[in-house]
Amino acid sequence: MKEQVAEPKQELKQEPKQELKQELKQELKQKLKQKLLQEPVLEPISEGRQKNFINHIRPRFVPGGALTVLYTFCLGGLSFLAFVVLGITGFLLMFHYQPGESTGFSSLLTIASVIPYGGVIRNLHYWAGQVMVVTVNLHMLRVVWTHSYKSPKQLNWLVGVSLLILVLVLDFTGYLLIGSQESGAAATVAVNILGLIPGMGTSLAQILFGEPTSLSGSTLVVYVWHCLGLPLVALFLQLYHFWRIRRDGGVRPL
Amino acid sequence: MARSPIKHLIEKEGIAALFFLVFCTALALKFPAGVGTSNQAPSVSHAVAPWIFGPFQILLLYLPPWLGALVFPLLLIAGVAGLPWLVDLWGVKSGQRIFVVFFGLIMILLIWFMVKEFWWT
Repeated sequence: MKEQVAEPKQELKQEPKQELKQELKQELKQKLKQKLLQEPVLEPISEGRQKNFINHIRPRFVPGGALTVLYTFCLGGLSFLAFVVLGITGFLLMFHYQPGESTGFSSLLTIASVIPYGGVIRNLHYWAGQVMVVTVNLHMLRVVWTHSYKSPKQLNWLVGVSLLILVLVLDFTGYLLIGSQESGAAATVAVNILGLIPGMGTSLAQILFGEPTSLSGSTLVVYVWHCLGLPLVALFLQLYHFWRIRRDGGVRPL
Repeated sequence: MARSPIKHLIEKEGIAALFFLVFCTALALKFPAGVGTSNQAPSVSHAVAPWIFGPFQILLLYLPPWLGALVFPLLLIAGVAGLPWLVDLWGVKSGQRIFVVFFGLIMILLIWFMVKEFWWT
């Protein structure tokens, strides 16, 4: 009988203990979860994926805080995406565009109004270029605001500034390739500005722009720079830029 | 700051890329890119630079070419490129101030250009 009476008492004592244990467990779980969220997140990447080209561009290790969209706003990545869009649409435009004073403007009109989807592809090329200038500038602003240019990232900052200048030059050469009167005026101004550089100005203008007229900036020289020379340099610098981010310790929150 | 339930960077990049592509396509479908004036047409009296080079046009309009088109832009580029070293000289907080001065100057010139070429005329 004594045992029968004692049993419910033990149960009564065990119930609060179990509740306490469960509460403690939940607290521990929450603390662990919070700690895990603060710790750097290791992206699970297999060995095969680690070696491929995409993961050379993308970082293998990403600190947890830097995963917040509002930290980077994905501006660097979006600039690269714009570059890819520009590459694809530019490649498609190359099938029909013919550089030259008399052919540049007319081939552009053909693309815009005759070739199926030519107008949309050209518009996409144009708008991706405009948006890229905006995202690159905003990316630069974000880098300054989060002090991401400081040691040891000075070299990458210089690469970024070079990329900004390259993007602007690419935009300018693209404008010249329209072959309109306005592009001719712009080419004339650019040639005259380069001519101000003592000694090598005229030669530099010849190398960069060829011989544009005041009525059309479209030349074969500008076309080659715009479609091949400058994009290749920009692509190489971008890949180096991404690799340097990894090398310098990745994107880190404040 | 509230954390997003999406934890992997590639998923966030994918979503951002999707929004970006939709945005660019919408712009491309809605606003056709300009072609300018044909070189067969009568000469235009006043050529307006694309908005990206608006600050240049303003500088060239009011300053001598060697100053507005060479010295001033080169100083600006040198100042922006040398930011990490300027910060070492003048302190950490100066970085944002220096950049705001450079960036602000370009923005003022751009707004000046926009007002002059698109709104005033």
